[in-house]
Amino acid sequence: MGQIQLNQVSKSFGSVEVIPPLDLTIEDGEFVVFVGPSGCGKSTLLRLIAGLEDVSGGHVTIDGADATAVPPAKRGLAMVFQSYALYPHMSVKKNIAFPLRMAGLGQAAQDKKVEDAARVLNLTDYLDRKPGQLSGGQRQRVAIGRAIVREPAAFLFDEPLSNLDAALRVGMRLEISELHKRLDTTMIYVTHDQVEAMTMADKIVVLQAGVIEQVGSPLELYQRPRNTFVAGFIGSPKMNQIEGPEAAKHDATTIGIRPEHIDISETEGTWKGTVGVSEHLGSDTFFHVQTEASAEPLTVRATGERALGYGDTVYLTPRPDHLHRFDSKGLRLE
Amino acid sequence: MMNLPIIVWMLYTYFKEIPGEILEAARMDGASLREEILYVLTPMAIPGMASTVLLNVILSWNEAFWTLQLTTSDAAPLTQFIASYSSPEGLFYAKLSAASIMAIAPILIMGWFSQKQLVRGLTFGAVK
Repeated sequence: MGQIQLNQVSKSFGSVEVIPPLDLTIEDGEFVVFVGPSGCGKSTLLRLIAGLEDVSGGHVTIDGADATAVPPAKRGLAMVFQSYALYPHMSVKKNIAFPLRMAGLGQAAQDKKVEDAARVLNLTDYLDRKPGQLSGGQRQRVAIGRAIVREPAAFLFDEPLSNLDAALRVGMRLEISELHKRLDTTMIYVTHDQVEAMTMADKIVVLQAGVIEQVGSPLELYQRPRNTFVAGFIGSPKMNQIEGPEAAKHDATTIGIRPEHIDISETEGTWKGTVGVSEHLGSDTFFHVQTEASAEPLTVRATGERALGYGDTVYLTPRPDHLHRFDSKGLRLE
Repeated sequence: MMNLPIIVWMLYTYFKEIPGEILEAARMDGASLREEILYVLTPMAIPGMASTVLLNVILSWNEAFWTLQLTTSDAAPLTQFIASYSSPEGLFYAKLSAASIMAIAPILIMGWFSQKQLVRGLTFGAVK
């Protein structure tokens, strides 16, 4: 079991309120990702759930029981930190066994659990090494191993892949998703990387300045963002947002259109523009086109390669059924 | 006593260098405050503590000036004892040399064995 409920949970540091009262329910077995820009309070929220920070108001409920005053170790949660937080003077085996040792488990039971975790995480050959002798990915696996052996009600991940290089990050992302499917345990994952959020989550919680902007499945957030912030934050490259007369034509203050929902042509279209920088990814090409419709260049995604160069004149046509409309407060108009 | 401020300052710096996340991890793993200090904090601070102890021994050993000024010949520490071989009656080179070697030998041997810890301790936190 691993249902977590936050009821009117708030956090202030002195007179600064970093998290205004918020409600959130995380269902058992869900993979929930907290995503938002730096300093939006996502890590603080995770630490409140973990018990590493005291709440200033409200209640944290884990599996129906009020855990607000329960110390971190007694909440039945395991946390994986950004810096791995391994004990540098202990071997991998001792690192993984540490929570079991603290729980007073017998040596034989400790060894068995460590071996099982090591097998799952491909760490069997490294059990006698110290963390300093491991690569970043292996260290992160040890940190996950230390969390697994506790058989927690929920795993808490605090930007666990931020210290890894791009290739390793993709690999570890898959490993964590795989682990979630295999263990079927609640996971709460904090990241500022919206690609991680989109690829891993069952449910994404988008935060800004401690406020939940939207909660939903990755595709819900992508297809129906509740406001301009979520629209701009979810999706890579981000959604084009156009204000002014072009938006007024659609009875909105702001209109949004994703790069893949704009057709690009050299002969005709709605908006005339000039090609600026092009980004060639092989499978796709992103063109940054300066148009009369918007002061900012619009990003357009074309499949495959297109023979368009810097300064070429093009015509852009947004697909009307994929146009997002927002009011003067930035809220979505249906 | 004279070295106490530098000991406090050095130990404070070394303990402060230990990342808070590691202690939080220990807390999440179920360690009590006592276990946190015993199994995580102290082992991680050993290089710092070793270099502080060694530096303190060296400083104490070198406090010849104070011992010469403040102690009587009956309670003379080693440094004052060595200095006593240079007296108005003459310089006793053999005894002076023997006493000097005896004086530096323990520090030299200790320093030799703990040099790895000492260097690591002195540069602890200087680089990532």
